[in-house]
This record gives sequence, C-alpha cells and structure tokens, in this order.
Amino acid sequence: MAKWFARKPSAAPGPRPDLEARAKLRIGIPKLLNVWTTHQFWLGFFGALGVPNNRVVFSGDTSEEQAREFGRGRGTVDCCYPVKCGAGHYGELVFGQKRKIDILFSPMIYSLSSFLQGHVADSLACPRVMAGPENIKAGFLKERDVFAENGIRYVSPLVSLAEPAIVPKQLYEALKDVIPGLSYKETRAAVDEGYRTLKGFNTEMRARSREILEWCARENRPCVMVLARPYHMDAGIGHEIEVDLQAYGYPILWMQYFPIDDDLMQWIFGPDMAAGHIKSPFDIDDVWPSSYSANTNEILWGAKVAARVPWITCAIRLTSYECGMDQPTFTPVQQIIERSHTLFFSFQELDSTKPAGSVKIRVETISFYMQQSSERIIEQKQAVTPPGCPLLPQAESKLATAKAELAASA
Amino acid sequence: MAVATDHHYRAYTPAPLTKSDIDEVEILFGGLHWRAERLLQAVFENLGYNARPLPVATKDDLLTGRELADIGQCCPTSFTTGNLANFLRSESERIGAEQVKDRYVYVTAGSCGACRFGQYHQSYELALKNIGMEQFRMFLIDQGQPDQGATAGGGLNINMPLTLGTVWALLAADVVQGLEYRTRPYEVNAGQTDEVVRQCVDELYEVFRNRPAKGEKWGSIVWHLSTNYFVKALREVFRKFEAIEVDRLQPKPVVKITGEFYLQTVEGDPNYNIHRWLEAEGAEVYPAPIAVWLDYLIRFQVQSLEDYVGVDKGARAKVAALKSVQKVFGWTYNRMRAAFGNIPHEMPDQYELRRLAAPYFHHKLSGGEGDMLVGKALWTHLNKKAHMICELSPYSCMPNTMSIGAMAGVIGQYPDLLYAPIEVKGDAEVHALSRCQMILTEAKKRAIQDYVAAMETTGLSPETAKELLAERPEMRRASYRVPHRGAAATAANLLYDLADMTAERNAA
Amino acid sequence: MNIVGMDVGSTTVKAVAVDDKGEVVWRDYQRHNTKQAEKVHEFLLRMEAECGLTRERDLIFFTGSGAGLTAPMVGAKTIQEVVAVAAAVEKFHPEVHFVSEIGGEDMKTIFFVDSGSGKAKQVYMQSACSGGTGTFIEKTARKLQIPADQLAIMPYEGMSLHKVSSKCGIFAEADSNSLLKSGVPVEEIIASLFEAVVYQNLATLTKGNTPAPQVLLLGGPNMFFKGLQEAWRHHLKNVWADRGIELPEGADVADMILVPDEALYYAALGCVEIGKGEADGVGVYLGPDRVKWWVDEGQHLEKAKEGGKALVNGTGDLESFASAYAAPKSCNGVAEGRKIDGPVYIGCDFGSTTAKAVVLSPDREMLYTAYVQSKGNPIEDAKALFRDIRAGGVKHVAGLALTGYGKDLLQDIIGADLGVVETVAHARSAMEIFPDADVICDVGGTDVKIMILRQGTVADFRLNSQCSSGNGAFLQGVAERYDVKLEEYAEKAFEAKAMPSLAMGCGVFLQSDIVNQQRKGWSAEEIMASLAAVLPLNVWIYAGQLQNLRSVGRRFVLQGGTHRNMAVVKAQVDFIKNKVPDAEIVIHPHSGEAGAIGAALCAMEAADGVAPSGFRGFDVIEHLNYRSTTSEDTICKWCPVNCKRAFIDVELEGAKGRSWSKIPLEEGWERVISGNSCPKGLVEDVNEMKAVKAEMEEQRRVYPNIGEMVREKAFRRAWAPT
Repeated sequence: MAKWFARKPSAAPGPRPDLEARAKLRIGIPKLLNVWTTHQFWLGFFGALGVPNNRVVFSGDTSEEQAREFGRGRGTVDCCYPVKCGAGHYGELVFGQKRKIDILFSPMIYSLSSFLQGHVADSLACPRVMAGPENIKAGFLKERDVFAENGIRYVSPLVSLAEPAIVPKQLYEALKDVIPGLSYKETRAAVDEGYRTLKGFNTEMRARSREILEWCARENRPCVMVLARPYHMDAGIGHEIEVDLQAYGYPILWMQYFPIDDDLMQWIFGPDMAAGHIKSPFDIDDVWPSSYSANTNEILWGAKVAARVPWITCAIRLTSYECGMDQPTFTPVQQIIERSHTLFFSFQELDSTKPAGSVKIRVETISFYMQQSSERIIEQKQAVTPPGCPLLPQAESKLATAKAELAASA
Repeated sequence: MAVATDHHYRAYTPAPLTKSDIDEVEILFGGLHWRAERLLQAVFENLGYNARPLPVATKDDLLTGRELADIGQCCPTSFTTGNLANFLRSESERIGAEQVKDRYVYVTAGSCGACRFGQYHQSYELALKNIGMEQFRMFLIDQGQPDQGATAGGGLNINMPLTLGTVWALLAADVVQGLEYRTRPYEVNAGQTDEVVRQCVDELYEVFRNRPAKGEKWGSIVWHLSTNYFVKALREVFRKFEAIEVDRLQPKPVVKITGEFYLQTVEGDPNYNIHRWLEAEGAEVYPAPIAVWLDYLIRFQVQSLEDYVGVDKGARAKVAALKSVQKVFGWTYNRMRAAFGNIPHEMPDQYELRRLAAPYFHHKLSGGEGDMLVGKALWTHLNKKAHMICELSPYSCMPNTMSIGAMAGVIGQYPDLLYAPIEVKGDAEVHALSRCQMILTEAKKRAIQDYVAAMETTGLSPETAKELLAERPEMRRASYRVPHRGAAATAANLLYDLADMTAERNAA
Repeated sequence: MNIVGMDVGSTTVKAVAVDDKGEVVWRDYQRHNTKQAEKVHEFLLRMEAECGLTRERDLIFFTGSGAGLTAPMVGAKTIQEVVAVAAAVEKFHPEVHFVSEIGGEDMKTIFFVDSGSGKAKQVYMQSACSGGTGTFIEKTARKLQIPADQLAIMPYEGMSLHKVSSKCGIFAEADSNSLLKSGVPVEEIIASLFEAVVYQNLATLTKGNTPAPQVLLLGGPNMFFKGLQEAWRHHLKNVWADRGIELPEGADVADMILVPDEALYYAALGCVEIGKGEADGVGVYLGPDRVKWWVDEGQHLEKAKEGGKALVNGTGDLESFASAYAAPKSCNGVAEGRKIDGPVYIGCDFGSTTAKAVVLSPDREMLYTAYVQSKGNPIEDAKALFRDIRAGGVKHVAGLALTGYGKDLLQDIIGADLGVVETVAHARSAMEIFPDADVICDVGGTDVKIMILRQGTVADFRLNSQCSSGNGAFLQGVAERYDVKLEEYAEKAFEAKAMPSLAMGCGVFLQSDIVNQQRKGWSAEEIMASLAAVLPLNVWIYAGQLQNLRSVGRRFVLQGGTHRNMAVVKAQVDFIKNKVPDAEIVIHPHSGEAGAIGAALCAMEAADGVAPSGFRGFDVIEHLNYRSTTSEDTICKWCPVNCKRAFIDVELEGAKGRSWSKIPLEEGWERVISGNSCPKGLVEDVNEMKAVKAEMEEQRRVYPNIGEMVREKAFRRAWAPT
C-alpha cells in the first residue's frame, strides 16, 4: 500500500522516483519494425528508470502461428507484412503472457539515430512503419478497449530518435502517468543512457563485423553482405535466408553493423572523396539524392560498401512484399553492386510464409557462383581498390610504422 | 595513388539549365487539375518563361509507367511517369529526340517526406533512361522552401515572385473549382456551368499573365498582400455566374473528396474521373482544395518547431511567427472566397483537424496527408459538411493505407460516418466505383432525410418552396449563397433559408 | 404489375419476378458460361412467356458484376450488389448483424451495427486475391475429381485439417496435390479447403469487427457446401466464445447461423425491394430486343471499336511465324544415326513428377535420352532410368551428374560425380544451343524463371514462385474454365480476330479484368488470345522486373512447358521483337531435357580425364538392395501437414547407418526419404535434427552471421561493456 501513497502528488512537492513500484512493473514491447534497430535503447532507458531488464518483455519472433493465435481478426489494414504482423505481436503481449504485463509500450519511431545522420537529408522511418502502432491499436480498440479489459496501460509515444534534444520531452509526456514518480530530469538522464547503451551495442557488433572482414582479408575468403531493413533480422520476416547461405560456409555481414572505423572508411571511400563525388564516407548523394529515409539510406550506403570491399563477393537483398520504400531503390542498388562485378541476388516479395523451395534453389545457385567466381571477383575488385588495406595485418604494421615515424619527426 | 572511380554507379544529374537556354526551352509541368495548371502556366509566362502543362494522364500512361519504372510503384507514380515518358516519346517522333532534350525541361515538386512521393524522381530517371532520354533535363522543387534561388545552371529562378504567383494561382484555381462544384449539380441548363468556368479561367489566365512586377523579394510580398488586383478580377468573373440559373431544391448527397494529394486533385483517368462520375450519379461533390494541403504543410512546419518549445529558447517565437504567416495565408484564401460570395467551401482550421484526429492518428506521422485524412473525415461528419467521405487511396500508397487502418477505429466510434475508401489502381475501375456507389446509396438516403427533416421543421413543401423561389429570382442564381444551416444537403439548407426569409418578411 | 430482380454475376445469372401481392412468381438460377447477355436474353423471353412479363408495364432492376452492360438495354436500373443484398437482409432478417456472401469470384461481408439512426452498415469486399471464393474450392475439387453432388455433402466436422494456402487458388491447388500425394484422404483435403475459406474470410474481411449473431450465410458456396457451413459454425462459435458474446437463452450456435433456402436470390430479391421504393418511371421494362441486338451485332461492333490487334494479324503473319518457330517435341530413345560406343557423359534430371536422362558423347552429341514417370520411390525411379540407359547401349560412363529435386537424395547412392542446381544446369544447356545467349526464359507450370547470362554465368536470375500470374498454371486455369484443352489453346487463340487488352499484373487482377472483358462480350477465344498476349508482360516486366529488355541483351532462349503453347510463343516473339527489334529468339529444341543436358555438360566439364567417374555401375544400381518402411514412425512431424513419408533404406558399401533413428539403420545402409511435401521432411525427426544441428552449429561458429548475433543478444539485456 505504501507505494501508492507515495505516488500521490500531495506526498511530495515534485515527483520522486518510486523505485520499489517500478521494480515490479512489467513492460511489454512488441518486437517489430524499428524496435529491431533500437532494442538496446529501450533496455537502457527502462533500466535507467529502475525497471529491471528481465521485466522488459519483448514479444516473440513473428510467425504465422502467432498471427493465427493472437492476432486473428484484429488486422485493420492491408499492407506489407512487417506492419501487418503487428496484431499478432500485440495479441501475444496481451493474451499470451504467463505473467501479465502492466504496460504495452509500442513506440512510434518517427526518425532514427542512423550512423549516416548528418551526411544525408534526413533519417526518417518509413511512413507505414512509423504509423504502424496507430493501425494495430485500432484493431484492439475498435469495439472495446481490449487493453483496459486486460489491465494493461497502452503507451505509444512518437519518438524522434534523430533529434535527441526532444526525445526526453516526448517520452516524459507519454510515461509520466505510467512510471511512478517520473520526473523530466530523470527521463533526460534515462534517454542519455538509452543512446549510450544502443551505441555500445552497435559498436560491439561493428567490432565483430570487423573481425569477420579481417579474417576474410587474411584468408582471402569471400563473405556475403545482407542489404535489408533491420526487421528482416526477425526470423519470421526475413525467414533466415542468410542462415541458409551461411551453412554453405560463408560468413554473413549485415550492413547495419558494418565497421565504420576511420581507417577503413578512408580506405573504402578515399578515392571517391578525392574525385569529388562525395564529401564524406557517409555521403550517398552520388547515388541517392533523395536521402530522407534512414533505412533506405543505409541500404544504399551498404550497397556502395559492398561494391567496394573486395571480399564481399556477393550481396543479397531482402525485401518484403509491397515495400514501397524499397521499390524505387531496386534498380540503383542492383546497379551499384553489379557495376563492381560483385554478385547480386535479391529475394523480393517476402511475405508471411517462407518460400522454402525457391529459397533453396536460389541459395544453391548463389553458392555455386560464389564458389565459381569469388576468387576472380576478389581479384577484380582488389585491382581497383587503393593499397594499404587496413584489414590486412601488414597494412596495420605499415600504418603503425608510418605513425611512429610521424611521431618521431614531430 | 589515385584509384579511378569512374566504374561506379552514379545517380542521374541533369545537365545545367543556363540563363541563355531558358528562352529556348519550354517548361513542362503537371499533376494538378486543369484550372490550376492553366493559371500556373500564366505565372510562368508572366516571369518570361515558356511553359505548358502536360496533358492529363491516361490509362495508357499508367501502363507505360508500370513498364518503365521499377516494379511495385504506387499508381500516381505510374501515371505521372508514364505521362511524361509518353509525351517525350510522341514529341521525339515529331521533332526528334535531340530536339526534345534541348527544347523541353520538366519541373516537378518533390516532397520532403519519406514516402515515395519524395522519391518520384527515381521513377522519372529510370523512365528517361529506359526510353533513351537520359540527357533530358528534369528539376525538383522543394515544396517546403519558397525561396530556393536559381536551380542548377541559373536558368530557372525559384524566387518570391514565382512562389507567390504559384500560391496565388493555386488559391484562385481552388475558389473557381469550389464555386463550380457547388453550381453544376444544380444548373438548369446543362453545360452552362462548364462554359462559364472556361471563360472565367481564360480571363484569370490573362490576369495572372499580366501581373505587375514588384521586385524580387519584399516588394513582391508586400504587393501580393496588399493589392486588390486579384480580388477585383475574381469579383469580375463572379458576375458571369449570375447568368447561371440553378435549381437547388434537389436533395443531393454531398460527397467530400479526400485522399492522396494527386488523386484528390486531378480530374481524369488517374482517379476514374470520380468527380464527374459522382455528379452523374446525382451527387454534389465537395472537392479538395489545394489550399488545404498548403495550409497543412505550414502546420507541419509549425509542429516541428513546437517540438522544441521548452527545449530551445527561440522556439516559441518561431512558432508564433510561422502561425502568423499561416493566418495571412488563410486570410488571403478567404479574401478570394469572399470575392466569390463565400460560396466556395471554407478551409477547416488545421488545429481543429489535429485535435479531432488525435485519438486515432498522431499529428507528427508524416507522409501524404498524415492525420489530416482522419481529421477531415471527422470534421466533415461532425459539422455536417457532407454526407459521405470518399477517400481516394492509390493502390499500395504507403501513408494512405495507414490512415485507412486508423479510420477503422474512427468508424468504431462513429458508426454513422459514411466512409468510402476507394482503392485506385488505375484499372479495375468497376470494383472501385461500385464500392463507392454502395456508400453513395446510403448517402442519398441521408440527403433525403435531411430534406424531409427540413420540410418538417420549416413546414415548407417542395411546392411552396418553389413558389417562394419564384418570387426571389436572385436565389435561383448560381451567385446566391445558401448559408449552411446545419444540414449537409444544400436543398435542406435552402428550405431553412427560405423559411427564415419568409419569417423575416412576415415580421416586417 | 411484376417487378423483376436480375442478378448477373461472374459465373451465374439469377432472377426473380414478384407480382403485386409480393409473391415470387418466377425464379431461376443458371450458369452463363461467359455468355451473360445471352443468358439474360433467355431469361427475359422465358419470363415473358411463363409469368407474363410485359414491356412498358413491369419494372426491372439489375444487380451483380455483369449488370452494367445489359441493364440499360432493357430499361433496368442498376443497383449495387451489396446494397441489394443489404436491402433483402434488412427486410427478411432484422436481427442479423453479420452477413457473409461468397460468390464465384468474390466474397463480401456486411456488418450491421446498431447506431443512432437505425443500423449502420459496414461492407468489405475482397479485392486482392482468389482465396476464399467459390472458385477457390471448385478449382481444387475439380482437380481432385470430386463430383459436384459429392462435394456438396462432404463434411468439415470431425475431419483432421491440413495446411492449405488460403490466399491463392493456384497455390491451394498445389498444396492439395502434395497432400494427396502424401496420402491424405480427399475428405480431409476438402475439409481443409473449407477451413481455408472461412479463415480467409474472417482474416481479411472483418477488419476488427466482430461477426456477431445472428449471422446469415449467402451465396452459392455457402448454400451448397454443407462442410463450409460447418466450418463457419465451428469458427463463429470460437469467435463468440473468445469475445465473450452471449447467445440468447436456450439458443444454440446453429440457431444463430442462418442459411436461408433463397440464399442465392437475395441480391435479386433486394433489387425488387429497392425497386418498390423507386420513383415512377424508373426501371420500366423495355423488352428484350436490344439485348438480342447486342448478342447478334452490338457486341461485335463495340469490340471492334475497342479491341487492340489480334494475336495474329493476317494469314501471312501466322505463316511466317509458323515457318520460323516449331513447337518443341520431346524426344525419346536413340538419336537418329548415332551409335553408342566408347565413354559417355550422363546427365539426369530427377524432377518431382518425372525423371529424365540424356547421354552425351565426348564431342557433345546427344546420343540417347531416357524418360520415366516418377512412381514416388526415387530408388525405383533411378533403377528404371538406368535400366533404360543400359538398354540404349551405354556401357562406359565417363561422368555422371544429377540435377533436379532428387539430386541430393541420389547423388551418393548412384555415385554421381556432381550435383548441379537446376538453374545452373539450365543455363549450361541453353548456352550449348546458343553460345551467346543473353537470357533464358523458362516458363513452367508454376515457376517463371528468367536467367540473365553475362560472361558465361548466370549473373542474375528471377524466380517467380510466389505469384501465379505469369506462369502456365494461370493459362491452364483459364483454359479449364472455358473447357478448352491446353493442346488446343493456341489453335483457339489464333482464331480470334481481335482481342481485348488486359492490364499486366497479378493473376487476380487479371481475373477481375477478365470478368470485365466478359461483361463487354468478349468470347473465350478472344480472351484466351489476350491472355497469351499479356503473358510476356507478366513474365518479363511483372515477374522478371525487366522493364528495359534491351538492357539484358538480344539473344533469347525460350523453354519450359508453357512455351509448348504456340500462342504464348507467338506473343513472346512479338513482344520481344517490339522491344528489341534485332532480337534473336530460339525455342530450346529439347526443352524438356534442358536440365539433364546441362547436367551432362557440367559432368563433362568437371571430369579431368584422369580420375574415373564415381558411377557405381549399372549392375550395382539394378541390384540395389533396399527396403521401404512406412509406419507411424515415418510420419513427418515438422508441421501440421504430417506427410506420410517412406523411408527407403538402401544397402550401400561404406554407408554410416543411423543408429540414433527411431527406425535404426545398421552400418552399410543409407536412408533416402520420400513422400515428403517440402524440404523440411527430408530430415527424419528431432534426433536427426540434433545431429544436423550440431554440424550446423560448428559451421556457424566458423562462419559467423552478424544477424544471428543480433537475434541472440539484442533483446535479452542491456549491453554492458566487458
């Protein structure tokens, strides 16, 4: 009882964090759309507010079973599967939890803190993706308030992650009545923690990618780059197509987590910058002037990288059926990659079911040609890349020598 | 050591359009309804450019567009892409491809949004490539920026006179369209309204063509805001409407058009000629003024600033400043409406729309018309401005499918709201129109209910109403405004109006 | 005075006539077989004769997707279908809150919600796919050879259900086929279809509304199929329980779901209802004369005005086409004048329905071809195939490669040197007949494959197995609807003097377009011609996404079963030449054997001339000792389809056996699994999965995948620097 008294505004002049109450909250987050690229932000954020990580519950991977069991009849709109599957995720959190959640937290992520931000026109989310929660919610509120009936507070703030200055305001307004004793100041600190956590995770993943690349460079072995939206990592959306390819003995990189260390960026994009095509390694104006959408921008950037790194001998593209954001980029992405002799295969029209038969044939074909041509592709690409690759050990040592010399002369 | 980078793919960049080129070229543009396009042509010509609107897109253009650009486009992209491509092709056949690339440039608005509208140019580029016209010059204008200076090469100067001329022309076209749609369904002599509108637009074309030059920036702004040059001209053309006899005692359902910008604006194959079709089915169409879209764009900017209130010090002042620009914009529109006897529909207040939509659709969600689609539907319904909403939604349009989904929630709360989301694919017309007809049948019932209710309240029968009207010839003119007396049906409002007048006369 | 309501649908015409007293004095329901106007005319004449329908006196109202054309000719007013149905429902069933009407090619739901001003209606119509419609059921039932009267009484209740695609008729048919193959009884397949239909209706046409009682089921399928009614009952009961909807006391679920006897006539009856309230002078019957005129003359004039050119333009056109392109024939046996001696290379294509082999000489001449129909046991198929090859005189095998579905199963068992993926095999064979080929276009029954070749490799390929628009099955489906044999398709299509222009797009949009065209009076031949004409657009642009054909090259190879249809080839040639005027187009002469030829060529290229082929020899294959097991333990448990698989165990030197299996296998034996309907079924059970997984884990450790790391790490706990 005591904690409820403490929450009363009359109990204190300003809100005081009620950590005891918060530690007992269960927050459910639907694991869909751009949550796939902001997961760690939310874990860091709620963690900083005193909600333990293990009480932040994500829904499961997307699946047809999930949709049938929990989402049936609640879809309000015909659109791409990654948005449409949301009803199943909501349903799973509302009806399918052993221990009931108190809050269903489904952020409308308006913009993203992309690593390309600042070099591109904008970092917005897809219009359907950002508005997804409004539609999914309609299916749960249309006739009766299903959330309230299940004792759940539905919280769906619009969050502009590309504008960190206003994020605390957005989240504070949405959560002040839900998180006991929440203050604006505290929210601001938690937002900082969210960004820090996300950045830490991204840095870690990039480091792992770099290890893979270094291995490829050292062994002169090919690898595959996946160009897709973050939610294609969801086994029910991307159908783990890249895993099938991995089984043939190719390491898999995702462009979202490509290493962006200075040395590597300079090596990859130096010639383009020198020739005046771009102003920075993260500038994509040379291939995609209307760089408004964060995920699209990253795909285009990833294509440029794949075209330039010799050991990426194949890029695969995953696209969901009816993806209006991907549609205009089909030709540019293909051209960017194929101009460099890199193999390019795209899996379009992904929907709720995995087209297992066609995936198998494609994967075998890809593997056949990778086997047949990787060596040649690596050679061809190496012939047009600058020397001194930082992925190679001798380059490292050379760089170290050069640095040492520079230091000595200074 | 420099490594050659020429082998990499690069995006299309148009060859510069220089000042010396500009006299030789003709600017192509399109995508609006014919009244707006004609007046825009005048604005271009007024500033010394040669310009011409592209022909209205057809089903052929749709098929061409689908063939030429990447698979899976939304249908406005297919229509407009195919439209440009087919025009260039037919001109190439006439005068040769080389001539075409020197003689024409294409100018279009690019949105700042993340939706495909902001990526239209990609489709155009691909189409140009595929018809072998990579050299053709195409320029995108950012509709969020009124003053963009000279576009690449210095030939086309996006300055205040061009921007203000464009805005004023669009507003004038809106009020003409508004007046026309309130008149034609009730005209006694078929075809008269169309004829008058044609004359009006011709006259206004001259007015915009002869707009005096008043400087590059502030002079132009001050003049546009203070002059009665346009209002006077509008009053002049309004007189022509006096000649049109109307019979407004027909209880027709009023159908509000909303939807994706291109589809709600054009009149032709791209939206199945829905305006005309609805009129033929016995409806009064409440069109979608371009002004409301422009007003929304301003509101969107205001919202971006509002986010920073309490975060940035100067934000509050910026919000206030922009809101006053918005006021001036609304005032300008209303001046033009007033010149037309206030018969064209008013602009809904953007903040009212936002308030109404809030429980269903967040105001910041961008792409297309965002929360406006929900807001307009509710505003129309609650204020009895129309009997039904016909939302024109392009097949696979990203933002529109979202607002339709959110409308599910609205309908749950307001089961009385007649809402017809029409998916427009360009083909499969029968399905779409029969859907619309379905809801229209309900709307017709409502219109009759309105009329019957008005008869009961006023005690007027159609016969007595006719007699009263016979005594008041001015009320049978298109230039007479029937005030909105709380009913959606014009006929019902007319009965209330007649009853009031009779009561006043009796009292006097 | 009579009032007539006429419902002109996509497959049937229904009409009722009601007299002054409101009694139904005439009614009938018939299929029109695309001759809508003809059927309407027939009905009118009969009504005039049988119930005294009189021009200038009686009233007539039309509804249905085909009403727009004929209604004005008889003076009828057209009433929108759903409006008509709703009017009838409101009159006859004031307590109904939910209506499902399933038609031949459409489905609709109407929700009646109590609101301030009576009842608000919300209507949803299917607009995206064939799933959930009557055709969807009938198409598959026809394939399964179930007579209509039997289909009508097949149950749903108590049947085991299997997974059938609910989205697209073509895929449902394919699913049903594989269910049948794996031994599922037809009753269960049909019950699964009913399940799919109801699921599809509820999933796509409720949009968050609850189908509350009472419920009315309308339309032919709902009326005729007892099983479908049972499926509705089952699902609605669940929905009501889920949503806490209480039924009136004493009422049973079945009482709340009505299937009226007049279900077919509701739209027509609704027309009459609405007609009663119309103003004087509306819908006055003008007689059948103009419909007659339309049937005899008008439609031809109209079509001539509107139609594009025909598939064939003048006799010369067809002649020159016929002389340049001949339909590929499948060949079998020894090629003429060839003797088989010395070493040869063999390529085998083990497909899902047939197995084929070709024998090539070292100088790449085709010496022999063999062909067997698959019997579902890959070992028997292999035995039969090699028996045939041996009988052809082959003695010395220098190299052997397999392709097709069975390549992984059989590679070890028959000792093939190579397993070649189909795409590569096809590319290889095409390059053999056309060394500079740029594009191979393979259109089969369900797949559309476009392989783009650059510098001797498949630089890109487009495979379209998700959508049925460009493939042969769609053509076949339409031919079946018109009762035309596939072999006669071309002949019929070439007869058309004009054809409507159909819009490219997915099969379902085409479907509705066809309904449109039928409405305009286009005949079966003309529509078949136009479908052939639109196929290249669907193949190249829609499925292949090759907007600019010129950019992929100028040498085209056409292959695959659908290119046996010369109407399609004609359309392809015209289309390609139009886009690429200097194109060279060939039809693969051994279209059916293309895969096997490619495999043989790959085998030849892989052979280095030193190492002998791993081929186990004809004798070994002939005497392969195997036993086949089908039991409870071989049933596939990976998904609800539960394929009844066969484990075929083959005695093979050096094989490892399967000690961990439920049906253990000793060393020296190899197991082949057949009867599975998807690749998942090639894995025996959880035990094998564990064994495979362990192997894969190792592979994944060596070759990491960043996406997998994200899946594992991103959602558990906040990342903390280590």
